[in-house]
Amino acid sequence: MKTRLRHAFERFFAACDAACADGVNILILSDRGMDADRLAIPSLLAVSALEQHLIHIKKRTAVSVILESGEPRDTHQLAMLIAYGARAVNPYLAHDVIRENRPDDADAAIENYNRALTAGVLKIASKMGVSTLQAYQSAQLFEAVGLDRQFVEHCFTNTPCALGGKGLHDVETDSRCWHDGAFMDPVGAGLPSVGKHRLRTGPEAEEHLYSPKVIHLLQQAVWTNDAAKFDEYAALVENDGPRTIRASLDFRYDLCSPVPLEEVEPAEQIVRRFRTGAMSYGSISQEAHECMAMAMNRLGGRSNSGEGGELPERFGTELNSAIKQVASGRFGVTRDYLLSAKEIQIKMAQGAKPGEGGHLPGAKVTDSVARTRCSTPGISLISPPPHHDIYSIEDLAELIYDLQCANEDAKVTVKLVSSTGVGTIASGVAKAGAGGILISGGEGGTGAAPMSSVHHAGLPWEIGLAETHQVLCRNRLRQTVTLETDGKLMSGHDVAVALLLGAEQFGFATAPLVTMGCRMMRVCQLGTCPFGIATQDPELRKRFAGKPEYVERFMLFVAGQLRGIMARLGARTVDELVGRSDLLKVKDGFGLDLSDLIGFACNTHVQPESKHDFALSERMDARLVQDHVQLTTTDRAFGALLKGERHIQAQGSGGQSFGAFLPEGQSIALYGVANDYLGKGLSGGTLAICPPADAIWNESDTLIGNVALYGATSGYAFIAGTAGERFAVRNSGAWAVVEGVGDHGCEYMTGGRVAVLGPVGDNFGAGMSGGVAWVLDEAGTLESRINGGLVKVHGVTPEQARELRGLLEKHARYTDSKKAADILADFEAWLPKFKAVISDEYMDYMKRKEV
Amino acid sequence: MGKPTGFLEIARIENPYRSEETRLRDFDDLHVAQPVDARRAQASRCMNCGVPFCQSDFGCPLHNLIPEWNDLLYRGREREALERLLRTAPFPEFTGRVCPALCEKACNLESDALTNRDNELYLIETGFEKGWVRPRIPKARTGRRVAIVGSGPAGLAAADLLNRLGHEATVVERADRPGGLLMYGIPNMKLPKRVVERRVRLMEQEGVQFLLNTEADPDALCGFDAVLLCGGAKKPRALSVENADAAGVCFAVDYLTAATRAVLSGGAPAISAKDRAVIVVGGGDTGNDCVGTALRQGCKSVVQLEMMPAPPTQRAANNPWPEWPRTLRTDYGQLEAIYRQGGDPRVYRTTVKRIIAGAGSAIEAAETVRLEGFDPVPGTEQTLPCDLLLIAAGFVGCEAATAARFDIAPDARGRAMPGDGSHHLNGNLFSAGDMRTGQSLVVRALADGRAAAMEVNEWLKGGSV
Ligand SMILES: Cc1cc2nc3c(=O)[nH]c(=O)nc-3n(C[C@H](O)[C@H](O)[C@H](O)COP(=O)(O)OP(=O)(O)OC[C@H]3O[C@@H](n4cnc5c(N)ncnc54)[C@H](O)[C@@H]3O)c2cc1C
Ligand code: SF4
Ligand code: SF4
Repeated sequence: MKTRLRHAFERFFAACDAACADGVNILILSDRGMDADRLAIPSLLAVSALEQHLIHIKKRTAVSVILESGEPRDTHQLAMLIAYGARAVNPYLAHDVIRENRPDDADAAIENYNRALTAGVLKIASKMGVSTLQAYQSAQLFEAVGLDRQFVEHCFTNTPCALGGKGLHDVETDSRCWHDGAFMDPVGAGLPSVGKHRLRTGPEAEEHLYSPKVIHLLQQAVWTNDAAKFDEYAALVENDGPRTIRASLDFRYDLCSPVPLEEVEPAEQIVRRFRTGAMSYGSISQEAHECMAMAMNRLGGRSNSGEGGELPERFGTELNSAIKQVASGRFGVTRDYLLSAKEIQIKMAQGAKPGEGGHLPGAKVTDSVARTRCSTPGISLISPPPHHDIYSIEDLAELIYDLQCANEDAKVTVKLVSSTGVGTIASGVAKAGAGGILISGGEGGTGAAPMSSVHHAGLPWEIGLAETHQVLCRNRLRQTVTLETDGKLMSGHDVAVALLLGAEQFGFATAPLVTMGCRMMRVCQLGTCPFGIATQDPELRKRFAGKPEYVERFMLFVAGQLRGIMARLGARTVDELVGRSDLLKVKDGFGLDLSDLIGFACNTHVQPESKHDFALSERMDARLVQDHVQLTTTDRAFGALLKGERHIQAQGSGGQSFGAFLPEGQSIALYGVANDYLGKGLSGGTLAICPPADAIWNESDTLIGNVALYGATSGYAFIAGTAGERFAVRNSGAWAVVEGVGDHGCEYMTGGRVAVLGPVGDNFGAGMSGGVAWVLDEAGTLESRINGGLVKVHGVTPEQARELRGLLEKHARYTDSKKAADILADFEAWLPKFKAVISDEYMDYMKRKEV
Repeated sequence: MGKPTGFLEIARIENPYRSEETRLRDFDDLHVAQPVDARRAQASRCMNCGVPFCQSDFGCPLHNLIPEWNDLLYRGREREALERLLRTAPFPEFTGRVCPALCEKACNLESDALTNRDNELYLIETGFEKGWVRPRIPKARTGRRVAIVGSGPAGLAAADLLNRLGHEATVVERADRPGGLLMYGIPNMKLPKRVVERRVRLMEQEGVQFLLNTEADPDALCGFDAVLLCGGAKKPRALSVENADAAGVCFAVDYLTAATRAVLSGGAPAISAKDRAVIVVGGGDTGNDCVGTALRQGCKSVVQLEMMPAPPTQRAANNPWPEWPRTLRTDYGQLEAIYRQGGDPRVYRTTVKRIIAGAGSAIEAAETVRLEGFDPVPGTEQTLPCDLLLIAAGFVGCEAATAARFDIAPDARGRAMPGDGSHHLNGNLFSAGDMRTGQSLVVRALADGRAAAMEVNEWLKGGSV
């Protein structure tokens, strides 16, 4: 007799209740009793449902649940189990498999596996801002996609759940199917290959959006300029591919009276709303990067530089990317880079790997990549997970403001990742004065992102986009920003759905790559891309066969299809369809509840006159004629609007972001104090901060705030006093002197020189892969202050001593620093007290350079 | 994934053939196996593509898990590699020899593709050699009985899978030996018959029953729960010219069958090319097999006529990767003819216009004519001496007699193909292989046989018996 899952739960709860009544305080759930006739309750369902049950009967804190199961094997599964109530997990089957495969060193191998799982779970927790496992337990930091709401409410109570979908009954059907498959596999040994990451074809395989047929049709369509083939491709994606939300939606042509196609906005105009995705030079080859830029410039659309900077030779030419990205790594974010942009995009996270930083292996950092990123060839680059100048929405507002000052004509936009609740963040972004918001879907993503992120992080853009549009409309903010979306947009159908859900600009990343020859090898992280795209290898780059025409044709084909849909919907312009979700319906037979997505229609789009006004022309530096100025803390990003060669003497309090992005040929000397973010993105200018001459100034007082010189690329900063935390974080080229720093000094630094003439705080040099920091270690405590992950403490070489001396002489000249004067008076005697903090990689590099 | 840079460092090297000189002396296997190091090096070239076209619908019809077993082979884990291979491939020892390697034509490395077919052959032969290939007898029996008519690749694959699923599989075969075209059709040098026999013995040990020398008869099969017809597309396309019935004119498969019988029994073939001037009508693979066989039998000369123009040597613009390349291939028989006769035996855009028969109405010569499209060009007639004319002009569907006996109506192309694209004809009757799809390939017949077996299984489970 087959017991239904529902009844199994009743029995299961009853057994747990009885045990609790007996005073048991640890419950061990095990599926070891499973056999050909007996199925196990899926482990996550069992754990979570029991947790909810225990809460219900008020026993939750009295009992701990431990799971022993053959199911869990990867970090995501482990994280889910812990987040939904398990206190400990024994993945015995995974262990058995390891034992079978590594009979000789099974214990060590299992130990490695356990360690990897633990690290992985912590990583997942950290992405959500949780730093201890205890805090992660029962935290339920997940969203459900495609599960029935009631089912979720019952078994995963309070888990956000944007779509309806499968319920207990379907779970049972699936379980039975897997179970039968396991016990009655006719085909023979081994597990079926479903092709979750790397595609498989065949009766046992899962479908992917980019199937071989789809790739082939798309490439042939754009290579031979065959619109009919493109239609065939699009139909295949929509009808035969995996069921995305957009593929489940159709248009309510029945409500509309069509207009003649000729009256619809031309494709050439529509493609101006199209963009290519943010893919950095470094992660992809120069050929591919330039190919996209050229295509988009010819179309009047926009290509995106990605976070790796751009070669200055490209600025102002057809190869210039109109969108310049500013990410946490700030690679290559120079003043000229910002000035070359029509749009500056702040990347808050990447759809495919929200909450994660990046890592570009040294092998990919060629001379040219290093030059673009303002870093050192051959040295790996780490982008920190967060922006170190953004810890709150106010900080983000500050960055938007700083960037707007750095390039008055550019639009500053913010890239967010689709998730439930993103609408609230988007409202904050709109209020902060951003010109646009990008909602990036979780399906996009590079082959280089970690596998657990590719498959389990990020939500489809449909969910985040619909919410954002609705929240912005309800708060009367929608007209102040453009709304863009991206994430595996592939056809006119996809774009039309995005349009009706509220987007007015559309990004494409994977499709343009495919048009340029990418066949989804998923070896992006290895640098062995055989199509010359995700590689820096000169031989492989020769294989690149992409042409701008291919990308252009793709965009025009998509626009052409969109026009067809618009005509049938009776719309002559794109604008009149923005947010018209009332023109969408769920296709018959899909049984999805999408009312949250399409239940609220509001045709609002950006209005140029509603744009946020920063009143930049009223700023002090915009009006400044003489070279002397008195400042107060409200003068933020002072200096950004100075034009031409200027040398300013300022007094008072420099506000946030003092001297941000200051270019070569400009200098500011401030007699006074400055707030956080001094010299952010310094680009060749010189900043000198001297203690206020008149005020009651104590030498031990902190002269400047936190996070100075973040992302500085060149220039000088002389601070005749102590700085706060995170001094010179992600500095890649500026030379600076400071007389003491707080914790995390020189974090993630990749280049430049920093001389600290006083004490340093904890965690000095964490993640610092390049550049040199000289510290005057009078107390002899430096060793205990550094983070030895990458760097070591060395003596100062004669060559370095010359550099140091030169730097100190400048410092003394600019600031009249007493400390510097003292040292210079007897440099040789002081020298032994200086220590150099350098990473091993950079040490090797300097040696190579000497040879 | 093999070695990330393997494809950049190592060149594609196929299993070589024995030299023309030695191989023309016998009917033994053409190929020389490569040593294990070479095999592993070749496997290391596989890029483990994110989208492996090789095993997609463009490539291997069996959807063999190519990147997976290539990787294991590269790492020296042959036994595991073989297990991955056998998960989808029923008889790699056949496909490893006769498959045109659709997978390689669709490989992401294009003209530099992996040598999957050779790798596959290496794995299975290593498996047989090391005793890894053992009878796998199903644990439980369902008590259901299925008759499979025809023991070609489709029938064998279906019987194999049905047996594994626990059903009792009985193969009914008209010929004296099992294998269909694997036995009597494909010549011994391409697929040694001991290889076919080895597999059949294994299947017998696993529980499949073979009834040889038996013409399938619906009445005799009434005791079976389901009947799966895999009778092949055996009706050859005839030549409708004057004197087509002359002695010395015969169909390729009949000729090849006789040749194989002679190889197996040691006697002289019933139809021999020895000392005869041979014309093969049809420039395809079957024609090539005829050329190779005739040369081995010691023919005086051999010519191969082809109606179509010679295909290009490179892919044409309208025939891009990963589609099947319609390019010029020079197969083993043609290479041998070049070696023996000093030139390619193929004559393009040419067909036989008339057969000239002599005494005893035996063929003496053939009058050929050039074609422009499908039209003969007047004045281009030529008379070639000919003692043996082999018709290798393709097949036009399943045998009418079998269709009539089972009361099925083949479609216009002679296929016993259910209208809904499935394998279920009617009642308890199913079809698969060339009989259902028309003349095809061994690997497609295998895939079709397996698909049919799954369908029969579902139908049996559905309890509609
Ligand atoms: C000369 C030649 C060479 C070829 N070479 C290759 C090659 O190198 N590679 C490749 O991939 N493909 C090749 N092919 C094609 C390939 O052999 C066929 O596509 C494949 O064998 C079809 O398999 P099948 O099981 O459907 O039919 P078949 O192999 O034709 O088997 C049908 C079987 O059914 C039996 N049968 C039919 N009717 C009855 C009945 N009423 N009662 C009992 N038994 C019956 C027949 O005797 C026969 O044994 C070749 C074909 C030929 C003719
Ligand atoms: S059966 Fe043929 S197509 Fe499939 S893997 Fe083997 S050689 Fe390639
Ligand atoms: S397409 Fe070629 S390289 Fe790629 S997985 Fe298949 S055999 Fe290997």
